[in-house]
Amino acid sequence: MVLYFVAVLLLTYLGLEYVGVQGVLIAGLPALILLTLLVSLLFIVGLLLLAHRSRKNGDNRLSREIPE
Amino acid sequence: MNSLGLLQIVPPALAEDISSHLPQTLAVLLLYLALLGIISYLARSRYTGEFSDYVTASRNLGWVVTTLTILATIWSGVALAGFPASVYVLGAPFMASLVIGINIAALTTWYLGRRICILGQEHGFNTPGDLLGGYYQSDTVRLYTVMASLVFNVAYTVAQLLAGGIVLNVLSAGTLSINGGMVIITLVVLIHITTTGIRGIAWLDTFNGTLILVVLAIFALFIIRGAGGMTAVFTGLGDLQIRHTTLPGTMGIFTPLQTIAFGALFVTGAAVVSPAVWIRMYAAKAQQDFHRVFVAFLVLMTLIHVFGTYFIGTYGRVIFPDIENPDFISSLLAFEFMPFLLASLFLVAVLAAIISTTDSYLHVLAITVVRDLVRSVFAPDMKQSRELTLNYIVITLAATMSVVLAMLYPGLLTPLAVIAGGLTIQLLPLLFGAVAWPRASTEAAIIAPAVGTLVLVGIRLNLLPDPFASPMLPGLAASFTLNCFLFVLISFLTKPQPLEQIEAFHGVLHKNL
Repeated sequence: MVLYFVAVLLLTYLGLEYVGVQGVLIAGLPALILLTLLVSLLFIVGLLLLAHRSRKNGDNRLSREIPE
Repeated sequence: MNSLGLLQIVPPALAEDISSHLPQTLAVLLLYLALLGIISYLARSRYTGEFSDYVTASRNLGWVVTTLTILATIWSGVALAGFPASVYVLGAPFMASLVIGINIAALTTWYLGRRICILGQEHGFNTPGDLLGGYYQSDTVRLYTVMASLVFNVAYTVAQLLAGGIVLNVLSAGTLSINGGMVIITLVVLIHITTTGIRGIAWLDTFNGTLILVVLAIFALFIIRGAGGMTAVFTGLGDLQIRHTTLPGTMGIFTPLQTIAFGALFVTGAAVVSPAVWIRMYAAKAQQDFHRVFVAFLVLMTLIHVFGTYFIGTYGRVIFPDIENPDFISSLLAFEFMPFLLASLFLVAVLAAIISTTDSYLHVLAITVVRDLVRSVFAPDMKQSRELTLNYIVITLAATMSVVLAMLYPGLLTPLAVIAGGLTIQLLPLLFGAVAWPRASTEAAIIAPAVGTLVLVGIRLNLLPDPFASPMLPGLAASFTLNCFLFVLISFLTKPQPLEQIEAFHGVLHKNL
């Protein structure tokens, strides 16, 4: 997951460098603001994935600790 | 300053508008205060009067309350009025920087917050000093947390009280002076904290947070309707549109790196290691709830910033291009586009944000001073009932001191607030060490943040050059980078904590995560 967030940050940087300087409106919003919304979306997805993995690890640990 | 002088800082059109509708404005204000009283009463009925209930609500806050109390604590009245003003002046890059910073801070707080929550439950921690001082077994480290808490909470409490005094002055059309307004807010907050503890604060935050969200959403709808569509909000900027909506912004200061670094450092300093947010990690019921808390937090913060703050600041620039004091842009726009009662409600929402931040900061300030200074250093055997009484005394003293500071030295606030945020972030490496890096040593925890703080103050006082010169956060990047570097270096050169200490912290986390 560290790689995921590093990739998102890299994407954010590149987005700011190339999209953030475009003075166009997309779907009624400036490109820079749309990029910001996309960054938030990627972080939210990342947090959900982290939670999913954490829950899965917890379940696995529990099943190892309780002998059948 | 007398009320006549105060009214001069409010744009005349706004003062006149409120004067002519005073009964309506006061009705909205009184309704809010009545609801606050009801919340205090309800929370009081659940309050046990015990120390742990006062500090951490018996570690029983659900995820919805935890989310909204964090949101309302961070979302101060200054932010509600000040961030639209920053958008007005700096444009979309400021908003991009802020939202990116919120994302990074949310991820960091999710990572650290779960660990703080687990260790709090395992060892009965109540303050940041309990965790850091405990892990590094050092009273010096504990005292760092007290100093950071004192400077941070006093600076921001004074700022909130000043802003609150101005809001009450405006809401009463100048009938109430700013000083009088500050005294009223202080009394309301003092009564609320001392009779309900953190549960009352969290419940009020939940109500205030909801109020702020609803009012901002309505405000955004009125702006879009008034402009004639979303696109018109931006095309209305005319010749300024390109510079206002793209990097490097109207002042030419936002490079891609500055945009990310400013947001990350600013929000992380104000949120992740802010003592008030830290204590809410202890108060949460379960670490498993934290993903819900921070996903909800991110969704809400992104939406209200982009569709609330950003739209207000941008359209404010369109409608009032030459305003003298941009801090009033949100109020002016509210009274321009919303019915009077709703516009008054917006001002009351600003007041709600101010109260939510003030009560949280005063509450945590007293806890850290009493627990980490008085109890740890001078009276280790102090009973919890006595500690609670001492908390009430310290809160009263701190509130009185904040009011006096706000009355006498309002000009000192901005530099103090910048240094305060810079001070708390110096504790971040120590926290990472205590919950995620068993190699961290006590020597590193003592030396690195001290050097970081000295460098920060040196740069702020122009005694040292700033290698990462940034017009937005002078000295912050340099001092924090040096702190991190020294923390790692010294930790590798010195002994880590004893094995039993590592087991009590990292071992417990490994078992529970």
